[in-house]
Amino acid sequence: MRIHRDLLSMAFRNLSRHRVKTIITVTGVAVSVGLYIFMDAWLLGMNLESRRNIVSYEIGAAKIQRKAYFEKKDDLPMYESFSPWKPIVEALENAGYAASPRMVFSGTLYTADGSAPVILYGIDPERERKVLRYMDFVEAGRSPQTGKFEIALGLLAAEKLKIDLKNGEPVGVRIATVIDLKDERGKVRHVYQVIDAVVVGVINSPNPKTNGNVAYIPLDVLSGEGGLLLEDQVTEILVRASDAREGALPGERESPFSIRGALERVGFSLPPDLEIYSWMDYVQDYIAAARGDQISTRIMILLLFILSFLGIANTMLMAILERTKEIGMLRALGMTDGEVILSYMLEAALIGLIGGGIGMLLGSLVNIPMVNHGIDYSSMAKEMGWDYGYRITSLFRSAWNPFTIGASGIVATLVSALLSIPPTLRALRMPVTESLRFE
Amino acid sequence: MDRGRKDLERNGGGVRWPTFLVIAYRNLNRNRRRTILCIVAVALAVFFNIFMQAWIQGMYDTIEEVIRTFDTGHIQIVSQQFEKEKEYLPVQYPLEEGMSVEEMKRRLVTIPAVDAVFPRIQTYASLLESVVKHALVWGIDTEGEPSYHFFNLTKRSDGLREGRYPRKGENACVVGSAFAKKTGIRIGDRLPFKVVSAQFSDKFWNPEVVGIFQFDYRKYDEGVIIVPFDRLQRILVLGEGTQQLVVYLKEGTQVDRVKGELKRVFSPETFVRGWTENYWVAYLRSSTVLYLIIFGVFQIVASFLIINTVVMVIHERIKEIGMMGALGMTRREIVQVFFFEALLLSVLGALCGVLLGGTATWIGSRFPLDMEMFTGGGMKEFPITGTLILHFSLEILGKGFLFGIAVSALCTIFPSLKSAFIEPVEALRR
Repeated sequence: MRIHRDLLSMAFRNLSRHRVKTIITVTGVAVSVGLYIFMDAWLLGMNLESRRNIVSYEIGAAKIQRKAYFEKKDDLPMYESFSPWKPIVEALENAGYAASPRMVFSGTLYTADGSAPVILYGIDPERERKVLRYMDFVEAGRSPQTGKFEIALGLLAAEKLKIDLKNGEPVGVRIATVIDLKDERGKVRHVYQVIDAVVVGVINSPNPKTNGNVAYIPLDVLSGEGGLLLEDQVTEILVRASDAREGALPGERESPFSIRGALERVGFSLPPDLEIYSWMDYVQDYIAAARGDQISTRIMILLLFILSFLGIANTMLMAILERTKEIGMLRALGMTDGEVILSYMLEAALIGLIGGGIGMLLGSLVNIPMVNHGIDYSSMAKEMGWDYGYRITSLFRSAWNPFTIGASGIVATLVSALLSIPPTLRALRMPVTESLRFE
Repeated sequence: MDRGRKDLERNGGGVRWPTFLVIAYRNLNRNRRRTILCIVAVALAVFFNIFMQAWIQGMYDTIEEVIRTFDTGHIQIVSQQFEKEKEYLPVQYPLEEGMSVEEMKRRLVTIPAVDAVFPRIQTYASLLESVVKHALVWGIDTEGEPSYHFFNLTKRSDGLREGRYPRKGENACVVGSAFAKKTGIRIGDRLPFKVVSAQFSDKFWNPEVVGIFQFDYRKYDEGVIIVPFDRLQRILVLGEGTQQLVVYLKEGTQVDRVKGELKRVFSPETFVRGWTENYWVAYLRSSTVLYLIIFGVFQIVASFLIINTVVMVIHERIKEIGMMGALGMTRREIVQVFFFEALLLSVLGALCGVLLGGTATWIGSRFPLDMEMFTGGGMKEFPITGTLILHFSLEILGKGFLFGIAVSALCTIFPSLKSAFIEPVEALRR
């Protein structure tokens, strides 16, 4: 044990033999470790926030849809709707889930001064509120009420139509849409429909998808005679555990498999053409954007790591070369090869450790304001119509990732130690007598 | 000794720089591994810079071209009112109310820098009897524009996949490939839709699909119907007027100068925009500084190796420094010995980096990358084609080379200076 302590103090003293060199090598490692920690926290922050916002504002934990609808879901094929939805929703509620039926379709909103194409969500306000939280973010006005022709608009649509509820009265709009329903023979029938409604609220939630060109309208008036004659058809039912915590990601109990099991336990079996899909099945655009960012950023940082490791390799190579004579001396005095290797590994590991430590410290220091305040990208985000995959409206924040912070320091130390092995082995191949005479 | 010194100076200084290079070259061979490590590090950094530059420039190129082709031309002219409400593409605010397109064109072509002028109308349409419910109607000179510039920027073609563009005034349209796939529409079918005219009335229209285009620009392939300008002009009750004019110049760089001239031709109610004022172009240009910082960090971390080498070399050869000083080398010359060695290292490294980067970007410019891989088909608002061609240019290679050498040289000057403070007499005894 004693020898190890001696080797360590030897390594430490060796580091101070060329201070400038040590400092420069350490700086290289510190910069790469610090940058890596910063970038990782940034990406993680965006991912976590996006996932939370998708679940809490957009999808819930799972959706029940027809298989035929799911396959074409990007086109909003409302003719692949199903009915009745009430027994399913009630069974889900008995099984301990919150469920919300929706009819999703696209249409055009007209006001006196303009028009905007929107996606309309026919919702049951009471039930929707139990599954998703965007109704808590009505920026102006209030949320629509059951039984009335009232709609809530996304912020982007409201701005486009110049609807300003903060300083004004609810505004009357006309919704024009083409309803596609399948007739008995399975042929899609298009019916042109126009309904009048009043905009009572503007929604601005942390998830950009709820604030875009979208409108929310009570499902019961849509289905009725004065609406779109939907006859109880819906395109999807959103599901979330009724006791889900705010901001939590869906747990095991909310997976499609568990939901199906729970439904069977209350004695309900889902019609064969319906399927339960997890929220992950709906966010391909987000996953793609996140993956693209992850890969490109990580390749960049990896290159930087390689550069700083080259620095360590260079430093150790030179240190060992210049001390060939000393190595000969140590071996002549009885030090084993293993101990020589260990002493140089310790020296290199110390460089990695100090550099990694400083990097961890720097990365964490930069992280503090990034986690607490974030960077405001709202102007760019809005110019893109909030269409960039990530579900964050304005503030991009980092998140702490203790694993990466610890791991990057450890990896830097270990890799540094390993890098010292080849030059040491080379020096050890030289006979002791030769190395003693080496110049 | 003094005389010898003066002789030397008369001959143009002591040691000439080719001699330094030879010394530097020989010294590099003294420790090959170290030399190789340094060269690899610099090469990596230079390669990274060149590759990133080519990538970013490739993206700029397509974004700028998309904007020039589909959005603003070199210069776009609209009415002030339209500009204010351009979000929903109103047709109620024609450019220079009462003036005909022909008259405006006549005035514009008198400006010598102007190469071509096209009238355009863009408006939203609600589709009837279709699973796709909205589309953008783009009224253009369907005879002039496809032959004037490339609509498919990747293949450099007019972008037609099948069929043809409608003739002037014809009751016909062409649609995008993704749109056709979604709706199942084919050439020869009718495409009924509704637009809102300049008098706010609903106009129903039923043109025949005569062609299907594929521009490799998602926004258009998925949701744009191209129709003859004059037909749309009549349907929207615009008279002889137009919603916008796009102007193409002989030299795309003269935008700012010509803009002023154009403004004088039109009344003050007109809004004139150059393509460089597009949000995305401006945004990308402003982020150049950020990239410079990233490249700088890479290059500096790579230079650390060279700095280390110089520090070590001076230490190792301290006896030689004493010898050189004793034999009459000035301090300046001794510093140069070490500086040139460091410089040679960075030049060799940068050369390797340029070779690597040049090869990689050349390959990237021949074999375009499918951008869907990176964006997953999201980002519809982003004005970029679905294919990225890396920008291969000698300018990027040259800049990467010079940047690499400049940063390394700056970083190595200070450690080399250290050799000047060594006393030859002391050094000889070490």
